[in-house]
Amino acid sequence: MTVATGVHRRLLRRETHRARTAPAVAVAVASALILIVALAAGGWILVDPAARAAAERAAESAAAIGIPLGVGAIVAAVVLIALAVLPGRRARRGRATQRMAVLVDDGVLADLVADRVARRCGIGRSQVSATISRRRCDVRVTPTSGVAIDDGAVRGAASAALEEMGFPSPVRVRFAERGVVS
Amino acid sequence: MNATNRALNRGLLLLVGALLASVGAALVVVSAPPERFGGMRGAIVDASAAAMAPTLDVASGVRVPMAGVIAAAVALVAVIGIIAFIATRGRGHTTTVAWDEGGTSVDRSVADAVIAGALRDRTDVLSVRTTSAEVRRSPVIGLTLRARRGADLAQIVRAAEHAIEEWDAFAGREVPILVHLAGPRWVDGWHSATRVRGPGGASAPLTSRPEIGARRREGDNAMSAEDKIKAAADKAKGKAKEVAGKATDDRGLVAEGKADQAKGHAREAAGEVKDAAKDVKDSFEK
Repeated sequence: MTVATGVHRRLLRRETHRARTAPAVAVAVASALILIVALAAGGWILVDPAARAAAERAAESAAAIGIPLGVGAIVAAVVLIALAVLPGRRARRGRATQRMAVLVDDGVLADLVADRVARRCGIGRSQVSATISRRRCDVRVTPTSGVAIDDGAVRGAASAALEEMGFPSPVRVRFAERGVVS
Repeated sequence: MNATNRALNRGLLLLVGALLASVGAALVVVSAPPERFGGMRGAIVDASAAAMAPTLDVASGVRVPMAGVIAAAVALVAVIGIIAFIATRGRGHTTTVAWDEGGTSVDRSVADAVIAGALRDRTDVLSVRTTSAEVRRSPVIGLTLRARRGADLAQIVRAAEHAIEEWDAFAGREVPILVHLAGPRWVDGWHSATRVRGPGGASAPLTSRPEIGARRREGDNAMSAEDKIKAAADKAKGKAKEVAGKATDDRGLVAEGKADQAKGHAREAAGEVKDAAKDVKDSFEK
């Protein structure tokens, strides 16, 4: 019996990307307020000649700050368009198994890799740090002074940890030039 | 986890961004000194004058530009649209995780008891949260697991798979499930790296080497698959009865559920005794 894998794939796609609901709702609320104020102001200007004169004076004085206002509006527009167009990936990765969809935060995976590397090389956990980016896993190792660490062992431990979780990825290992006394 | 229409979110951001960009550009052009964008400025001023020219007689002596009336109507429609937009965010939340045509539905708390309950007993799991939503007219269960530092994640995933098997056996259908291994929140920094299990269990040192002291590994477990399934089914059935009983204030059902769970535990214990006996036998044979 197969579960709807389409649903799993859709869930993973949604959970690995930002929803953009918060900025969209903020923009919606701000636009609604501006429109309501503009409608009320328009009605008021229509019925009250004094208000109309005041509005004309205000429009003239506003012309002085027209350029900074316009530039500010363009900057805000660029931010909004970027939010609309950029993919908004989150630092997570997912895969669908036969029965369920598994979603793992990149930080959790990086912790696992660093733990395994530290254990395999027999060094302290604080001497290893790992970062997982979209296409690569970076492992930085600070060896203990005078104790050589095999590059292959580090790579092997990191790859094994990633494969065990089902997210294989190329590993890049870097050693600190100066060791530490542990 | 919800079913919010995300394309609409992005569409609104794009629309407002484009409007804001054109208004900002027009403002800059109009306010700049005349020798800069001279031609463009003239075009904008002419166009706005032309737009304001046709007027509408609203009352005796009061004439308003036609463009103003149209703009007001558009603004009114836009405000209504925005209210509808805000109201439809976050759709798809539901507390029902399974339903059928017969009108039977299962509440999220039952799934939480069966799936998350089994995982909460583990010493290497900090917290489990169950969520549910309706996606593409199908119920979906979400489990957010926070593991302790140094925990064996693959083993936790296997445990989740196992708990889901129990749930499937209970629910009688396969509801799509999303298991999320989440990173620690800032409050999780306050938890210690180890946890002492309550009566009946041993403390599990996780940051040190877990293989020390764990004489029997998972793969060696000889308890037969049939025993395991029976025990698990009893426990799941019992838990569900207990939860249902509590929800409906039916004490009889709660008691029945507890009895079923005890049966499950007994079955499990019997299986372990069998294993232990086998181990003793093996050690003599070696």
